Amino acid sequence: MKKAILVLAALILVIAGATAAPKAKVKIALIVESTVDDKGWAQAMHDAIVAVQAKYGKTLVEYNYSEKMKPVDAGSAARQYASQGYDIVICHGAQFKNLVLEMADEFPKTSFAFGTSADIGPKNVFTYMPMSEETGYINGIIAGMVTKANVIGLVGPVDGGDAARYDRGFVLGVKASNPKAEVKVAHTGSFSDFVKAAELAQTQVKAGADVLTGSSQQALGALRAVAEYKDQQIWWLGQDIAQLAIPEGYKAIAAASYDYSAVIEALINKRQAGVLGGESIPMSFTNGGFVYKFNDKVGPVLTKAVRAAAEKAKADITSGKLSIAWKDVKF
Amino acid sequence: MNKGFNALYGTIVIAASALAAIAMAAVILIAVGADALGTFRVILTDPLKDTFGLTEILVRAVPLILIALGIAVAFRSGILNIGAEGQMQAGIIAATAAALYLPGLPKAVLLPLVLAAGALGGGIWAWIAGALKARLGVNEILSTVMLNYIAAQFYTFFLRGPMIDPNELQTGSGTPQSPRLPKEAWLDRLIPGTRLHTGLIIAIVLAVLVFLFLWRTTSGFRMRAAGAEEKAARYAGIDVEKYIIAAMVVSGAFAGLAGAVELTGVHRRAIEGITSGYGFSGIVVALFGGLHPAGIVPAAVFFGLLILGADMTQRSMGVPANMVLVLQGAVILAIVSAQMFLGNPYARDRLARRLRLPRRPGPKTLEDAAAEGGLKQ
Repeated sequence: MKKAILVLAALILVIAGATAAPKAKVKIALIVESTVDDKGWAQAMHDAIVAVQAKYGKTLVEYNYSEKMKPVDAGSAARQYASQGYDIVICHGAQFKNLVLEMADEFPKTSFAFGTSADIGPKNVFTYMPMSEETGYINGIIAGMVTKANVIGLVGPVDGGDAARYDRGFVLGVKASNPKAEVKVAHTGSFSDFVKAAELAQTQVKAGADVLTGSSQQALGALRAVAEYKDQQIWWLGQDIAQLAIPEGYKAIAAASYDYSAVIEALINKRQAGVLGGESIPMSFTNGGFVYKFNDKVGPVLTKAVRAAAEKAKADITSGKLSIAWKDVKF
Repeated sequence: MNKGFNALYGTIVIAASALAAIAMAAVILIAVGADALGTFRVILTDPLKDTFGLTEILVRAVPLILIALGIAVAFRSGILNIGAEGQMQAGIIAATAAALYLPGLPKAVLLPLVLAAGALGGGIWAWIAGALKARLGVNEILSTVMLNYIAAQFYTFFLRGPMIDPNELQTGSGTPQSPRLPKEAWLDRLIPGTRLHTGLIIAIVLAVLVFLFLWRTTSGFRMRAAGAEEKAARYAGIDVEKYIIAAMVVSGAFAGLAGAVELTGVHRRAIEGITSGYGFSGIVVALFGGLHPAGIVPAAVFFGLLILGADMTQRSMGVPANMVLVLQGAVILAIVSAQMFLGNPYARDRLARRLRLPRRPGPKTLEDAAAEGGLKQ
């Protein structure tokens, strides 16, 4: 009971925090390795900051970003932002961890944030970690129900960060809805290698897979490979809602997306409350960190039973009834 | 063709290439709706306005100088090294291993060992291509490019496997990066609050040493002779194969050292993307610098300015990052084209003939040959 009350209190705090406007002007900077229109990782963060800016107005939230940042350039950009008085510098990617930890010492009054990571960093460093096993699990439930061949393909970028969580959640979801199904896991070794992702997807289809999934930007290559099988019952489950709207989206049954708005608002509110960092902000269905959407145009493959099972899984995860032991899954 | 004509020719080529670069960049900027004049101002002046900008230029110049020096040694010796990127990664792996697996040593011992390990790693990686060229006649362009791919995979393997920070495995983040190097393996920062490190001094000293080696020693003369005219060098009794391998190893060692310096001076742990394309940019810097240390150092600083200035434009002028890369490419293309024109006597002769100027007689002395870019003992 105590636990439930604590969870409820935390939820109320998050929701309350998420809706409070900044008390004073806040300057936010974003540093990304790809571009802010990459239909994936960087765009999700950029869109969230723009949404928060639109909500409170440009007079309260000032925003600037730097794209295509290699590690050495990211160091220059972060230094420039910090010395120009930006309050929050978000280095969007775990590869910037080294940079952030070094910068945190030099600019103690600036709040830095990087993710995905669950690290509890220095006093002026926030981390954020999408609990992607949740979206993976729901996609896995659907994949297990839809597969006829009992062979499912998973094209991951690397076995780390939120991708590792998504992949393992997906495997658990498949096992929950169809214990007989086999999940073939492969990694491209890159977050942006579309060509290799397509090749791996082709290999998995040739090996009998009739439902595939994948995470990060590179997954777009795998979806394109699936879309080449126009007349065959081969389906896709996405980790980005933007995939539903592209021409290849006709193969996607459903997709999940990150909504970083809750993270941005939490960063602003915590900073203005005097907390410069030292915390990890989780993203989950519970705090609105994920959005899940079915593709109503996909056709009869999306049955009422499939939809109901996915909705139930989502509800159970959101309410805390279902916990996903993703760390137990070994590849 | 007199000195006045040569000066005029040089001025015209430089002015034409600068105008071409400005025109190309202006068209691109106007096409994306950016303020072209403001962008040029930011690229060329903003980095020079404060200590931050000046030091960041030099931070980029350090690896460029080191790599370009190595490229110059190889090119001058008649072997084309396109593999500096891979050699840099091999150097970083070796330097990281030395720093992590030789703990407890004092800085005076550990830091030189780490830098030497970096040079050794790069040298060994380059030796493969040099030996293949010298012993089996394998085209060094193909072998060095292919070795880049292999080095990249090895680098990824080490960062995700044996050298990954144990903390990354404990927290489940899995970021491919090594543990932070011990402080005894760090290069000191020259100016507090900036990233400028003592690698700059190493680069300048090595530039002087490369000049002395190539132009003031017998071995350097033999290397250049092997590169200038292989058959004549062989006829003169020079062991061309030996010097080809030696030149490649020296070139790789410089790239490996550049990696070790970047590792110990800037990032202080091995991370993905640490090479930042310096292995390729270094080739352009070497060519722009006339394959001579006295040209390479200012060329590297100028490229550092271009890289940083172009990067600043997206923050201050809102120019899209992809356009920034196009801008950099246009400027580099114009610079290299101008440099090639200036170093090409036939183009100058052709223009002189069209203007009906008297032709200059061929070089008579070794000094004249040297002035034309040839050999000098």
